[in-house]
Amino acid sequence: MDDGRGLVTTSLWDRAPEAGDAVPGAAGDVAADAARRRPSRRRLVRWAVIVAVVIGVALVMTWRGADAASDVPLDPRNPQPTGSQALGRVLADHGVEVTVARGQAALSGAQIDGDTTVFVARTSALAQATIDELADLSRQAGRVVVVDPDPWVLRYLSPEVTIAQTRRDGADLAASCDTADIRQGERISHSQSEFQLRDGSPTDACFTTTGHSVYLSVPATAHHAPLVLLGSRSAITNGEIASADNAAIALRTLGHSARLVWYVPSTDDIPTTDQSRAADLLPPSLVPGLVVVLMAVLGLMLWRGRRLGRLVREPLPVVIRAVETTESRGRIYRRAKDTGRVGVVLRDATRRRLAGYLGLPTAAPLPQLITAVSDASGRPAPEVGWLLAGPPPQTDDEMLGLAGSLAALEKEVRPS
Amino acid sequence: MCRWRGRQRTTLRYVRANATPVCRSRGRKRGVPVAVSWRFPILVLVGLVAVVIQPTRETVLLWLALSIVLTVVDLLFAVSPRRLGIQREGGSQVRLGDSGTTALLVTNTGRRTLRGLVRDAWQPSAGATVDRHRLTLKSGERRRLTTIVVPTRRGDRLADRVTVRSFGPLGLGARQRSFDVGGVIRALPPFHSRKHLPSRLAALRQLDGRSAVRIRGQGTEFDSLRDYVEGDDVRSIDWRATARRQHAVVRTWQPERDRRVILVLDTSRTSAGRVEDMPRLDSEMDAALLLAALASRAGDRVDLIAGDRWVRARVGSASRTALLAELVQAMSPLEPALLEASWPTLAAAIADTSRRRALVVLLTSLEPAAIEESLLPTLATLTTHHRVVVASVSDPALTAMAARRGTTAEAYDAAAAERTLTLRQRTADVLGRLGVTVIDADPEHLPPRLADHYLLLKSQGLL
Repeated sequence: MDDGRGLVTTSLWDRAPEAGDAVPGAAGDVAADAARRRPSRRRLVRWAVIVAVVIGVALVMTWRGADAASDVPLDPRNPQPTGSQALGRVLADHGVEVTVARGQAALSGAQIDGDTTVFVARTSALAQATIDELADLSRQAGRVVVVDPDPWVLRYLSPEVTIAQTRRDGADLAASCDTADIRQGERISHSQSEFQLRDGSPTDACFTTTGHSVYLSVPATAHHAPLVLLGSRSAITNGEIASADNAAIALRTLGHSARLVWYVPSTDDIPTTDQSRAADLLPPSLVPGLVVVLMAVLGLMLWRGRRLGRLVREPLPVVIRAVETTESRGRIYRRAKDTGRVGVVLRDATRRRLAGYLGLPTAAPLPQLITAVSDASGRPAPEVGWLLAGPPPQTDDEMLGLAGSLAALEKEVRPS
Repeated sequence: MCRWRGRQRTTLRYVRANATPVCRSRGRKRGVPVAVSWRFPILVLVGLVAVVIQPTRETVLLWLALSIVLTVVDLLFAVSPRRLGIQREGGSQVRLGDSGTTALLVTNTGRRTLRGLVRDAWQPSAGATVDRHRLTLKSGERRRLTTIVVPTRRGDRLADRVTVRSFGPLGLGARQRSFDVGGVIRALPPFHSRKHLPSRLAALRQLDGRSAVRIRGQGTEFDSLRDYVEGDDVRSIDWRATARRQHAVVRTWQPERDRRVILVLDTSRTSAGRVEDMPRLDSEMDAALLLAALASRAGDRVDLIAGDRWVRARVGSASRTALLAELVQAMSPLEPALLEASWPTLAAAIADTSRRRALVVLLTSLEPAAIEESLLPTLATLTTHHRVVVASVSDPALTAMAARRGTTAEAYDAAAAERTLTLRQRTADVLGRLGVTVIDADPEHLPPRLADHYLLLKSQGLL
C-alpha cells in the first residue's frame, strides 16, 4: 500500500517540472486573478491560514515524535520520573550494547543471538500477532525479559504461566531466594503483578507469597526463548530505580548478556485482521454505559408504554355506500360481457326519459315515440328507430358507441 | 368470555340488531396500578456520569438499585388516587357539529396535596381531543375539570373510565387507577335543513292570511270577513255581508288546523346505506324534522314512529313548543338495524296512533325488493284510511354513474345504474297507482321538497 501511495505522489511531482519555470508565476497570476474576481478573498486567506497552521502543527508533532525525548512511561528516551532513560544509560555505561528497537521492523532488523537479551517494558501496545512475531524473532535470544505484562500478553507468549494482579504498593518486598539475578535479602520496592507456573515445576522464582512470585524465570520452550518475568514496573522507572535494591535487580536482570535489544512495541504493527485487542481499544466504561443506556431505554418504554387508562372501544356503524349494489351489478354485466342486456337496459331508460321529455305516456307505442323524437331532434326516423329499438350490440365497441349515441340523442331532444 | 350485550334471544332469527358481541374479562383485570414519569429514564441515564467515573458492574447495579428504590419510595409517598372524589356534572347534549363541554368535579379528600394527571376518556366519536388535565389539588380542595367534546357521530356517546395518575413528591413514580364515573353526551341530529324553515314558514303565513283558498273543498274552514281587496277571488265575496255594508266584503278562510301528521322513520337495512357519506337514516331525520317543525307551526299534531322489525322510538301528542326537542331526543339514539322492515308492525303502530285521517309520511327507501315484499300489501289498507306520502333519499351517485359513458367499463356501470333507476321508477309508479305520492330526491333536496308537498296539500285542503 505504501508503494502505491509513493507511486501516486511521484507521478504528481513528475508532472510539475514539465510546466517549467512558468509554474510559480502562472500560479501567482491565477491567484491574483481570483483575488480580484472574488470578493471572499478574506475567507480564502483565513482558510489558508488555518490549513497552514494545522499542517504546521502536524509537522511539528511528527518531527518531535521522531527524535525528541518521549513522555511515554517506561520509554528508554523518557527522562521523566515515569520514564526509563536512566536504566538504558546505566546499562550502556556498564558496557552493554543497548539497541532500542521501535516497532517490529526494527526488532527484526536487530541482531539477536544467544548473547542478546530482548527486553519488553511496555506491553500494552502488543497484540496476538505482534506477540507471536516477538516470540519468533527472539527465539535465538539468550533471554527475554518482560516487565509487568498485561494478562493477555502471557496468554499468547507463555500460556504455562498464570498471572495475578496485585497491589503491594506499600511495603518493600525482601527476597528470600538466591538466583543469578537476585541475591538473598535484596529488596524490591513495588510490584504490580505476580506469576506462577501452571504445572508448578521448579524454577527460579523470587519474592514469592502464597505461590505467586514477582520474579519468575520460565525455561525455554518450543515457542519461546528463556523468559524472565518481572512483576514490578515501577522498579525500572527513573523515579524509583534508585530506591531499595531496584537498580541492582534491574541491572543484573538486563545486563545478563552483552547486548540488549530494548523492544518498544508499536500499535502500528498490529495487522488489521488481528482482533485480539479489539476489546481493549474500547473505553472501559463502554459496556456499563451501554447497560445504563439500555436500562434508560427500558425506563423510557415503561414511561411511554404505560397507558393513562385503557383503550376505549368505538362501536362502529356499518358503513355501506348505497351505490354499492349498483356497482356490483355493473361488475356482473362486465364479467358476463352481456352487451345485449346492456343495450336493452340503456335503450329502455332512454325511451322512458324521452317519452317523459316529449310529454308522451310511458306506455306510448314505439312508432309514435320514434316520430316524436325524430321531429324533436331532426334526425331521420330510421336512425332514431335503430337507436331506440335496433338489434342488440354484439361487441364492447358497438355497445360503447350505442351508449354514447343514446346520450347524445337525449341531449339533442332536451338540450338543457 | 365473550357474551352478547343487549337482550339475548333464543333463536338466531330474532337476535336484536344492536346486540353486539362484547368481550369483557370477568376478572378484575385492571393492570398494574403504578406508572413512572419521564424523570425515571432521565434519572437512569444520569448514571452514565457515575459509570464514566467508575466503570464497573457494581456502579451500574448500584445506580439502577438507587433509581428503582427512589422511584418506589416516591411512589409510596404519592397520594392514593382513591382519595380523590370524582363526580360528573350534569348530562349534556350537543347538536352534531357543535362543541359541548362535560365537567368532572374532583375533590381531594386526603390530607396531602395531590399532583397528578386526570384523563377523562371518551369514545373516539365523542371528539374529546384534549381529555388530559394536569392537576395540583391541596387537601380538601375541589376543582372542576372541563373537557370539550365535538361529537363526530349522532347518538349517545359514552364516557369511558376516568383515570387518575398521582405522582410522588419527586415526580418519579406515580400511582394510577381508573374509575367508572359514567357519562353520556347525546349528539342530536344536526337538522341542517332548518335553513329552509324561514322561507317555508313565510309561505305558510301567506297561506294563513289568504283571503280565500282557491279550492273550496271540505278542508277549508271559515275564518272571518274582511274588506274586498283587488285581486281577491270574486267567488269568495259574501253577498249577504256586502249587502249589509257599503262595500264588498269577502269571506276569509284559514287552512284547517289540528290535522295529524304521522312521520314513520324506517330504520331497517335500507336506511344504513350511505348517500353522500351520510346514512340514509340521517337524511330522512333531517326531512322529518323540517316537516315536523313546519307542521307544528301550522297547528297540526305531529307523531313520530321509528322502527324496523320493532318500533324503536315513538313520540306523540307533544306540545308545540316541546315537539322538536322531543323529536331530536327520540331520534338521537336510533341506528340503522340490519333487518328487513316489518311494515305490518309499523302499520299497526300507525293505526294505534290515530283513528282519524292523517297525513302519513313514510320515510323509507325506494328499494324495489324491500318495498314489494313488505310495504305494498300493507299500503292498500293504509291508503284507505290516510293520505300516504313516501319520501325516499335518492343517490346522486346513481345519476352521475348513468351519465358517464366514456369507456367500456363505464358503459357497463351506466347500464347497471340505468337498471337501478328504472326499477326505482317502476316501484314509484306502482306506489303512485296505489294513490301514494312519491317524493324521491337527493339528501340536499328531500327536506324542502317534502315541506313543499306538505304546503301544497295544506293549501289545497287535502289533509
